[in-house]
Amino acid sequence: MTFSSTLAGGDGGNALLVLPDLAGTDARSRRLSVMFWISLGWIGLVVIVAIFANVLPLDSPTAIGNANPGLGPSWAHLLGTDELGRDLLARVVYGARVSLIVGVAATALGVAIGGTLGLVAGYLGGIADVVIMGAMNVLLAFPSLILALAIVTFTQPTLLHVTLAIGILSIAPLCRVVRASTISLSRREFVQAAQVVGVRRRRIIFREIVPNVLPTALAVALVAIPGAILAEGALSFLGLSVRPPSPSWGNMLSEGRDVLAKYPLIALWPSIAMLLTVLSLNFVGDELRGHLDVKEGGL
Amino acid sequence: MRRVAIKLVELVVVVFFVTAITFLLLNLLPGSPALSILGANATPHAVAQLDKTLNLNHPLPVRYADWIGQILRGNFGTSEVDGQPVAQAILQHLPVTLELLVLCQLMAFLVAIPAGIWAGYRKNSWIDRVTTGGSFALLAFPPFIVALLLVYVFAVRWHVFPATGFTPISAGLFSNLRTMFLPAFTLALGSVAIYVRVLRSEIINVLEENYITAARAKGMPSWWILLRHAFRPSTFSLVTVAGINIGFLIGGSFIVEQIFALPGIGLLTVDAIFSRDYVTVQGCILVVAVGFVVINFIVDLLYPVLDPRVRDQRIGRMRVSGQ
Repeated sequence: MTFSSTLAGGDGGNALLVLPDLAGTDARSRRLSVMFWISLGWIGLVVIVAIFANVLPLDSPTAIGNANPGLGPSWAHLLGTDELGRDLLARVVYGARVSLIVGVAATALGVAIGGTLGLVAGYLGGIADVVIMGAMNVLLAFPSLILALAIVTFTQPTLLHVTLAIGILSIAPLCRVVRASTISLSRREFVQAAQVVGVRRRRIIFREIVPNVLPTALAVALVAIPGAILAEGALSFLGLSVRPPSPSWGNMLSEGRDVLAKYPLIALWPSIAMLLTVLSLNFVGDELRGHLDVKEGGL
Repeated sequence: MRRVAIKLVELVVVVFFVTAITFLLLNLLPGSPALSILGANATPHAVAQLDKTLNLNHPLPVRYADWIGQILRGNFGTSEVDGQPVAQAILQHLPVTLELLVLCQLMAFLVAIPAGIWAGYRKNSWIDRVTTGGSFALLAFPPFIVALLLVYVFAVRWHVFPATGFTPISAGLFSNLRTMFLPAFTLALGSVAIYVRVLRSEIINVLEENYITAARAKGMPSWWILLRHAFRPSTFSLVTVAGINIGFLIGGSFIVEQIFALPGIGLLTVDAIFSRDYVTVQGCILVVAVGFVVINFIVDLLYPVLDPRVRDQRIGRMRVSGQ
């Protein structure tokens, strides 16, 4: 049933997901580090600001002509203004919404569909396993961004389609992880005991297996979110996500590129926002995985 | 041989599905594909005409068989925008992308191999911490941010490299490499991060093996042990990850070609997307996806060459899945 992707250990198609595991958790301490809390703080800040963007005392992210173009940071405009005089802070904050919505919704889709398929494939085995994993290998056969790009191109770029396209990308890696831990769990004594006693299959899956697979799946999902954010950024940068003038970090970068020589700050702010967010999510995910001692791809 | 045969069957199955999905993409277009391509103002006659050229009047399986037959004969259809054969456009753009990918991988290995070996050898030293931390941070850097940063520093500020544009090799290798340097470097950084991490942990594991202790006891110099005894078995994981990484690089090359205006497959595709040239988009996606599948197939076949342990399939499986 395997193609090359299985050779990488648990989750082939998404190299980002492979990494933290391969890095080895040899010398990692059991206590969460200061960096962990700083990262968590940043993520919290971004989430809160994105949720309450409407309520915060921000300028309109799209209104043109409220201020001079290309201003540097000042009290009135903390991050300055862009080439059309729009407030950059407001644009970065509203851009965070797009990134977070897509990142979380796409990953949730991956957990829901990939997780269910992984459970079914891992627990039932046999034909179901072969068919499901075959389908996953086909999904992984496409270079990830290209599949998303193809879907968005042919269904027209809207926030919903972008989320669906990126969600589809995260199905296969999550399915592999959940399948692997389901298989190893169903060999454990407590599951076999339940089987021997005659507990119904559905009950075994939901009462015995799901609660034990969930931490693994969530830890992997946490690492999948930054991947989804970057994928949205890439599509946005190419002009295949939310349409300007609505801001997203990706399309702000794309606009900033055109005026890079004149107003380098326009590209700088969304870059920093995106880097810090992705870095924090990677860091928190990595540390939690080490902390929970999640081992994936044991099969 | 059995192994190769099984892999070959898998290859055929995966290629079938990949081509089928690519074929079906055109059907995702809202409304009739012909209408989407021609725009809302198309005359019914033109729509009927395009329906005929795209073979839209037949049932799906027939259309797929017909389409794949044409593809196998090298006919990728004709662009509805400029009337150029799609196959020709792809052939013109493919070499640029391939050069970009080759250069980027050369750069990545040139940096990652010494860094990864050294970090693994001197585990927990400051060099190790810097490389591990640095590669972790690099993972958060998408190519579109790295590219903008490099353009700003090396093109806008220092004028060392051109910001955009492409000089073909025929116009001189040096000027060609000058236009390729920043794009290849942008893509290489992400790969460096991945390869360093993989190589480091492999080297750490391998150095604990008994045969390494034996080699040390024999009085072999460290560099010999590292290169000859430790690096060689580590290449196994490196090649695996490099194979998977190609998928990322292809995505990255689309972005990088866009930023640096390199006339590769990525630029061709994105331009085609915006001019609603869906036949070209479909052709490009087909070439890229099938290319990726074939590269991974070749990587798979390479394992026994690299690692004699894989020649015994059972042991190979255990090793592969055990990491």
